[in-house]
Amino acid sequence: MGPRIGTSGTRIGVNPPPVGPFLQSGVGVVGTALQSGVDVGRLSAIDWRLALIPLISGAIGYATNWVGIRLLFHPVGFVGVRVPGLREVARLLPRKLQQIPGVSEGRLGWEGIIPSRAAKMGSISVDKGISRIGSGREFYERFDPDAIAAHVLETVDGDVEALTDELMRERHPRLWRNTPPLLREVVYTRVRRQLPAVVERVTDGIGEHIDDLFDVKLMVIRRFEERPELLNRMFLEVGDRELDFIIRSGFLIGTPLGVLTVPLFVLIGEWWVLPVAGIFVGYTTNWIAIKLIFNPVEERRIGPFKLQGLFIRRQQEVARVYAEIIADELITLANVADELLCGPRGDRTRELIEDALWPVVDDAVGPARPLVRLATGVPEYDALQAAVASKGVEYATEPLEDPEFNRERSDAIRVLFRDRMQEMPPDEYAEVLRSAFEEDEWLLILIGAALGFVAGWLQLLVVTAL
Amino acid sequence: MSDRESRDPPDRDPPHRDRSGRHDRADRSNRRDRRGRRGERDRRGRRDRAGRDRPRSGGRPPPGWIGWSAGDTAELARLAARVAWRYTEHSLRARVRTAGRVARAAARAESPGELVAETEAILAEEVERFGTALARERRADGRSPDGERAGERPADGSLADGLLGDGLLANGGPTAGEHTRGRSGGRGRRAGRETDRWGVPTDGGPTARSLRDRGARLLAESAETDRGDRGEPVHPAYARIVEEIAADEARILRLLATEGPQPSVDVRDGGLVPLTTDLIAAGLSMIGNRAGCRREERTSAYLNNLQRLGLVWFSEEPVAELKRYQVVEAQPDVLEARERARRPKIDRRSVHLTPFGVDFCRVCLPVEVIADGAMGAYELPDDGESPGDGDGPSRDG
Repeated sequence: MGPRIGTSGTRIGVNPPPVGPFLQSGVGVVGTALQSGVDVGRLSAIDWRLALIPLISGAIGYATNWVGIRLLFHPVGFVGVRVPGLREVARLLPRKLQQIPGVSEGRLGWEGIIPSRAAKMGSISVDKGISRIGSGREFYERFDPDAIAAHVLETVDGDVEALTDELMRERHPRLWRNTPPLLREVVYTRVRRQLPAVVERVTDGIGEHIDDLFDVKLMVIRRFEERPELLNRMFLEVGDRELDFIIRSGFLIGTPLGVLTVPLFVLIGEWWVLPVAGIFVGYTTNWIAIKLIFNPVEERRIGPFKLQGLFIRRQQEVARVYAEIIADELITLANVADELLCGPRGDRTRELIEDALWPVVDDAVGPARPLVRLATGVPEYDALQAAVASKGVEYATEPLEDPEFNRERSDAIRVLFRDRMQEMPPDEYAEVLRSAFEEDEWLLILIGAALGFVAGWLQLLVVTAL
Repeated sequence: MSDRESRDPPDRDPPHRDRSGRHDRADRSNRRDRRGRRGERDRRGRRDRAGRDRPRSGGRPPPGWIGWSAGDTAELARLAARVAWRYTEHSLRARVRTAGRVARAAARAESPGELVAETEAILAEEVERFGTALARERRADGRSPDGERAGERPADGSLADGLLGDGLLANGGPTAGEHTRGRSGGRGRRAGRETDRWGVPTDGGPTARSLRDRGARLLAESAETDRGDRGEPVHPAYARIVEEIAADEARILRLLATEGPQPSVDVRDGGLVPLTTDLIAAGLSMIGNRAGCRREERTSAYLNNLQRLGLVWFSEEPVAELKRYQVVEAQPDVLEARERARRPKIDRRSVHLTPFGVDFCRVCLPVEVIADGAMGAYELPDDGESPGDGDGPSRDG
């Protein structure tokens, strides 16, 4: 090896790099440094400097992967400047370039790839992951409508008087003031007597029509749009080992690649070899790392070694972590209730609750209903019923947001996700998380290449400055 | 029967189940009457005495009347009379008649429940009687030589006024009569003849002459200068359009009205020949899902209908926020279309309301229409006039 480098070394001496106008102007320092290094010309000196290349190459791989992963997750929210005219130009650019965060909004800067794709990734994670694990109906059933009903009743029961008073005072101050106390008691009793049936009717009704009331995908998209950092957390926690591996592998893969760069550098003997090799190293380390995480899907044995995608191998553990995040943050009772009542299909749920609550007013007023109705006026009477219903919605959501109760109910979802995911065939399982960012992998790889290019210059400086 | 009953939604008023059909009818007519301003004042003036606290005597209440004493029953009778009075004030004769009937019923009634039912029945009948009288009157009006529009008749504070004041009935004279009669269980009378909004009979189908007549009337109407409201308060086409859209389509309109233009994409195949593309799938969007349509698979057909009615238009341009395409392009139908293409290419398009659609939503839907975003590109000055929307006031609002 020594002599070869020696000869190559002399070759550098023999063919000094084509300095040219470019080198003399912009990178003159480097050029002269190289030449002077060669002028010193002794094997040992060249040897020593070239030996640095693999090491620096490893460092490049490590750094590019580290930075690449930082750029994958950070910052949450766009950081950068608006470039006048870029927005108009952006429409003409190739789609790939438009995918770079900020470009389509006419801004130059960066946003973590994952947070900037939160809505899309949420949508895909439902199509490829969550919906394979369970349907909206199943989730609702796991929450156990009976337990929900019991909890709502428990919370509301003590408030029946206050609720009724508030409502009647608000809508019908005079009527309620003029209602004999005994009659009020009757109304309270009737309301209280009706409540269990009403709550049951609501929970049953929701269960029966859940497909018309609730869309898992829209809920997940909405959640991720509101809180992109949630998606970050999901990837960071689920893939912590893999992400560490990507960074470490930068060094492990970068070093051998550096070894390969040495003869290239020596043979070609041009100054640009290092930056170009930097691109190559940055690109390849990221590419290989991603491939190793997900491939091969099925376990393969080569002699004593077992080969399987790192992520795939950890299915049991990943399933546990994934299930935890989903159950704690995504498919929670509070979120589902919010989607049911405030989502695009919320009017349907409210209608359902109103339908269930109407009879309460009627029953509370008793057989005098037609007269009360005529006395208060039909629209007012109907408005009263609507008010009861919207109050009912208010009162129903409060207990559903109770964190204690949420935790209790999320257990069922966690178990569901963990078990189903642990049993998934490897190829389906691999898709659950990968599909979400498969389309953006190229961006991660490209970041590696770009960073590698920069690092290549640094490498050149280091090699020549010494 | 009992089986059917048990499946029925719980009745709001079990003791009067057999009468429910009838009192529903009365309710509906009353609901219209409610719009009359007179009723409002009356209600306020009288209700203060209606539910006053009364000393309770110790009579045993009949079952279902827990807490109702004999004193309360008397009060109830008085309330009933007042209600009857108020609802029948369209004519003195009817008022006297009704009040008398209610009073007789109150004297006869053995229980409050019976009294309530009785009052209800009387009211229903009165309203019904009035409804048919109204229908007759309007038909006569339709043929009247002066051709005055029905909706512009001077308000006389009657139930008829209440009915006519209701936008629903402003345009279709005969429909008012038909509805009332239809709901009143059908007294065996034939439905009224079809007439246009000026009351000109059209049942023979349009002829060149009748159409010309109508056109002339339109022009004459538009030539009138002393009208304060600058023409029709609402576009005359809306009544028909409301009838012609599906419930899911109303949801789509609501989505477009409240959230503005929606992104849609076409998937094309670049193929092997440069510069040419084949269309693989067009108009893929999340509109059906985001609107919460019950029949999501019909979304395209819904949009066709809305376009046919001139409420919606499909733009070749993308929506302003390109980021919104991310999610659309990740939907299974788009991905599947991409797979079918050799060199997939996605064209970004959008779906907007037309200005006509925006005004329609403002008038006909109980939603807050976002004034600025809903139409999208139609706001550009050179495009502003393109669709035939005759309703000026909406745009400067």
